[in-house]
Order: sequence, then C-alpha cells, then structure tokens
Amino acid sequence: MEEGSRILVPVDGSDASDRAVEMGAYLAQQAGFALDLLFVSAFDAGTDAEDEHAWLPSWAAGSTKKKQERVLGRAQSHVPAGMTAVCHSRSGIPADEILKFAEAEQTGLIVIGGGGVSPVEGFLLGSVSQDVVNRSTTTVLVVK
Amino acid sequence: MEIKNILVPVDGSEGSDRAVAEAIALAEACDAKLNFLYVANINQLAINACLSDAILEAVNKAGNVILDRSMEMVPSGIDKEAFSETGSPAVVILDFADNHDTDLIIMGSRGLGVVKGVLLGSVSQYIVEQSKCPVLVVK
Ligand SMILES: Nc1ncnc2c1ncn2[C@@H]1O[C@H](COP(=O)(O)OP(=O)(O)O)[C@@H](O)[C@H]1O
Ligand SMILES: [Mg+2]
Repeated sequence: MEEGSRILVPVDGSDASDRAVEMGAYLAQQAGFALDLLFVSAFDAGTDAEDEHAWLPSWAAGSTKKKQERVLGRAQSHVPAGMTAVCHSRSGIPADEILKFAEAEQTGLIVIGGGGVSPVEGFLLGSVSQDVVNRSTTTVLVVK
Repeated sequence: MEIKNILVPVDGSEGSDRAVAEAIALAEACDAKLNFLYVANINQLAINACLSDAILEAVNKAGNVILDRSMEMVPSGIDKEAFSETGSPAVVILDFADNHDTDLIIMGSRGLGVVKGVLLGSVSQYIVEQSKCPVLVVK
C-alpha cells in the first residue's frame, strides 16, 4: 500500500462483514491508514421521498434509508473506540459500486467478507467477494 | 484481532515478488513473522514419468533460489522462515496454513501461468475460495 492510501471495507450487515470491519480497522490502526466503510443498496434513498411518481413500491423505497443506517451503524460498532471510520453509501450493483469507489477514492486495500451467506438479503454473498477479487485492480483481502 | 504469522506462497513470478513486498510491509506494521513456502509441483513433473535424482535435485535447487531471494528481501528485525514442499500447490498451501498457525495468507494474483487477460490465477482462485483463514491477493 502506498503512503496516504485508505482501507475500504464494503459492509452488508452480515457476520462475515463484521469480521472484515474488525480486520480492516486492525490493519488501519497498525499501519496508520484511514478507514472507509461502504454500504451499497439496490435502491436509491432518493426514491424515499413521498413522491407520488416514485416508481418503487413503498415497502422497498421506504426501507432503504433505514437499512443503510442499520448496516453502517452495525459496522461502526465493530470499529474499536478511539478510531474513526468514514461511512459511505451508494446504490447500484454491489461489486460495480465497490470497484468504482475503490478507483475513485485512493483505496490501497479492499477488505471484504467472503464465504458465508448473508443473513440479510444476499449482498455479500460469496459471489460479490468473488467478483471483486476477480475484477479489482486494487489489492483485496478476503476475510472468512 | 492480531496477526502474528503470515504465510507467503512464492513461485518466483513477478506477482509473487509483489506479494513478498506487501507482506514485508504488513509484517513490519503488525510485528508478525513471515513464513515463505515454495511448492514444487510434482504432479506436473511426474508426467515425465521418471523422477530421477538429477531432476529432483534441479527442482530443489530452483525452489531454493526462489526462497533465498524472498528471504533476502526481508529487512533484519522481522522474523522469517523458508519452507519447501512438494505436491499440488493449492492443496499443499492450504494444508500448510492449517498446520502452521497462520493468521493471514498473502499471495500474488498471478503466477507463472501463461494465460493472458486473466486477473486471477488458478492457485489464488482456489485458495480464496477454500481457505479458512483470511487471504490477501496482491494486484
Ligand atoms: N508452486 C507454487 N508454490 C508456492 N506458491 C505458488 C505456487 N504457484 C502459485 N503460487 C502463488 O500463487 C500466486 C498466483 O499464482 P497462480 O494462481 O498459479 O497464477 P497463474 O495461473 O498466473 O500461474 C503466486 O503469485 C504465488 O503467490
Ligand atoms: Mg501458477
């Protein structure tokens, strides 16, 4: 990793992603790097607005913002006290958004949960981590 | 959370050299020990049917050159050890990780393989999928 680069942990609220946060925070602390947490939701929080023209069914649109807060809050709780992590959220296809973020934000290392099936609606399924490891031009650490 | 033992499988490729460099930086930051492992792919060699002593000796020598080069890259003050095994690389690497208290495997995304346009080699692919401990793939 280059001096001044950042560690990115994509999170989805699963146990594997909790372990990824702990690993990312540990390495950030040891090596003196900054830490980014990123949640990618399938829907844009903007569609939450009580807009009559919103095309999403209300159950999907209304829950996006809450889920964002819940997942990022849970991830934050795995960052040791005294350390700061910057929270981000995007909407779109998880692997695509993760790779886009890493390329745009000086990410030197992506730490991602792998293997386990997400108890929440399958974001960090093995397929997302596999896709990220395969396509990333940034170094990737897969936590089991 | 603590990383005390880092396993670095090396095959002498440019990708594995980059993995060694990254592993040194992390070992320094975490005060961890580096275990370098070279696996002579005997299955492949066995296709030649006869494994004469001369061939085995040549294989060993090649492995030692690769391991020596990795060891020499490590600055003094970082604990390090070199291991040489024979067999199917992916399987042997996972076995070794299990038996040596490994907290993290650091490897290259590509090795000596000649397939162009592939971002992840077959050994790395297998280990990312099957490993019980965390795997860092250096790009
Ligand atoms: N025989 C081996 N012994 C030890 N490590 C190996 C061996 N073969 C591959 N590796 C490790 O796996 C990484 C990826 O290599 P590999 O998956 O074989 O890619 P490729 O298909 O391009 O050869 C290497 O950078 C190295 O870290
Ligand atoms: Mg190879």
